[in-house]
Amino acid sequence: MSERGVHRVPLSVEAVFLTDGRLRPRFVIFDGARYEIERILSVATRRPTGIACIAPTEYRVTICGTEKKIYYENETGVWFSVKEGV
Amino acid sequence: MTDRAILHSDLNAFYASAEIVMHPEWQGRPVAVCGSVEDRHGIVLAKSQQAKEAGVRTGMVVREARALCPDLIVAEPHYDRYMTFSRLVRKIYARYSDLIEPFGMDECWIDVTGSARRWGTPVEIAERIRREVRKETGLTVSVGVSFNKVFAKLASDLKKPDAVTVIARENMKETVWPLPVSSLLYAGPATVSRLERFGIRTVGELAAANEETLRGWMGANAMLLMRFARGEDLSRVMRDGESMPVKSVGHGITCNADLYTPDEVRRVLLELSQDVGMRLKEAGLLACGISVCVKDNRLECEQFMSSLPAPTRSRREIAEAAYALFCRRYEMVRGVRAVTVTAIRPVREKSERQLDCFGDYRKKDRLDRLESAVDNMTLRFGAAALRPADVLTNFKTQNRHSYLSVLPHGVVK
Repeated sequence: MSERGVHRVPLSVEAVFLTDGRLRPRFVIFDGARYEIERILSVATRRPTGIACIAPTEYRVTICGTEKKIYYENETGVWFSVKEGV
Repeated sequence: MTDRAILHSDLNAFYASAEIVMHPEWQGRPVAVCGSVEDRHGIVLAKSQQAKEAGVRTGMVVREARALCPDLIVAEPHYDRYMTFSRLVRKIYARYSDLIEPFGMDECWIDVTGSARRWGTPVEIAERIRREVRKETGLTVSVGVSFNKVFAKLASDLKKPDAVTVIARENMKETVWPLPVSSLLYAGPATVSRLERFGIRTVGELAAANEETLRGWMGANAMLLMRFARGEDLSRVMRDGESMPVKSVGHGITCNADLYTPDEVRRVLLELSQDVGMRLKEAGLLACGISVCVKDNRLECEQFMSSLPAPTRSRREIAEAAYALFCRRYEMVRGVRAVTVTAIRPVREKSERQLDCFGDYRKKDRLDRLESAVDNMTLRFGAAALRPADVLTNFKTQNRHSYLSVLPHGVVK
């Protein structure tokens, strides 16, 4: 965890590769529950401030009507989100 | 004809910044990336801005750096990680041009002359690159914008970190000419001190020097520097993969412990010659001369050169010539810390050669076939597959961490 009180939370994600090679997340599995990703609002390469990672892809999505950001780190193949606080 | 638009992008304190990205808790603290002390590579390779402000310098021994900055965070280098960052940053450059010439792991020239219609002015492209590198990777770059490679590089050094600096023809005299000659690419300490002896201290003074007089004083290289100073560098940005003709092939090592006998040095030279011979083969070259550089345990260097009787890439011949040169010219008063063997004045393997009337070519042919067999085994199974028995007992050259990186090649033609 960083001193700024933000840390990475690894996620299980069900995603599909589209025929053009793009990667799109469909479901996030968290605490035993499976949440559908309703919409993908934007996709960009962006490093979240204060998080140790190498040029991840940021997906701005809506889950249960709430906007969330999830990240995919291509170098490690890991999905994660960023949690603030202890 | 309109001017070219060349960018030079330099990742600021690259190794240290990459470590801070991977350890965000180090942000704002003095960080230095240092080689392994156990392997006697314990010097500062890169430092963060805070470490720099505390007086830590690149090349400083770790102990000195810690004495200057007791809070210094000393990080081990992670070259695989730096390669990854370097590749990702080059992908950002590739959005704006296909003409990208790397200069080491952390610097690149980018020719954006043909990109204006799609992406805007060179300054706008430089700003985009600066923002995108920061946003996507967390690293910062200084981008120099100019009409040639030398001034673009100089511009990127003027303002750091995370900045864009422009040197145009219009502001060239005010911006560049008052700077010391050492700001120019390829103006090393020896050249700078020679120019100083002739009263030339600034880039402007070099640009205004009389050509004939300067040539008489210092030869062709000074003419090249003078052209740089006048903004007349015409070298083009070469695509990755294009390369300058090879001028020398060398390999050096800092030993784990000092060498005290000529035989220890001979075995290290033999080991280094294995790599030199292999790389000559890969480049399709033969060496006409050999150079040996020896650094003792007081870090004093001596370099010797000699011609070879005939062009060769034989590892054995290179090692024997290097050892003979060492014995002839070097007085072993102190322990030897580092040795480098360089094959110089290379010629193409297929070029015509003067044969020796009295040489034993049957024996040479047999040796060549033997070396070819060793080369083939090295290519298939790696450098450690087949080595001379003498090399296997070189306990003072066994590195726990070894990395091969391609160092910047010259732009001088």
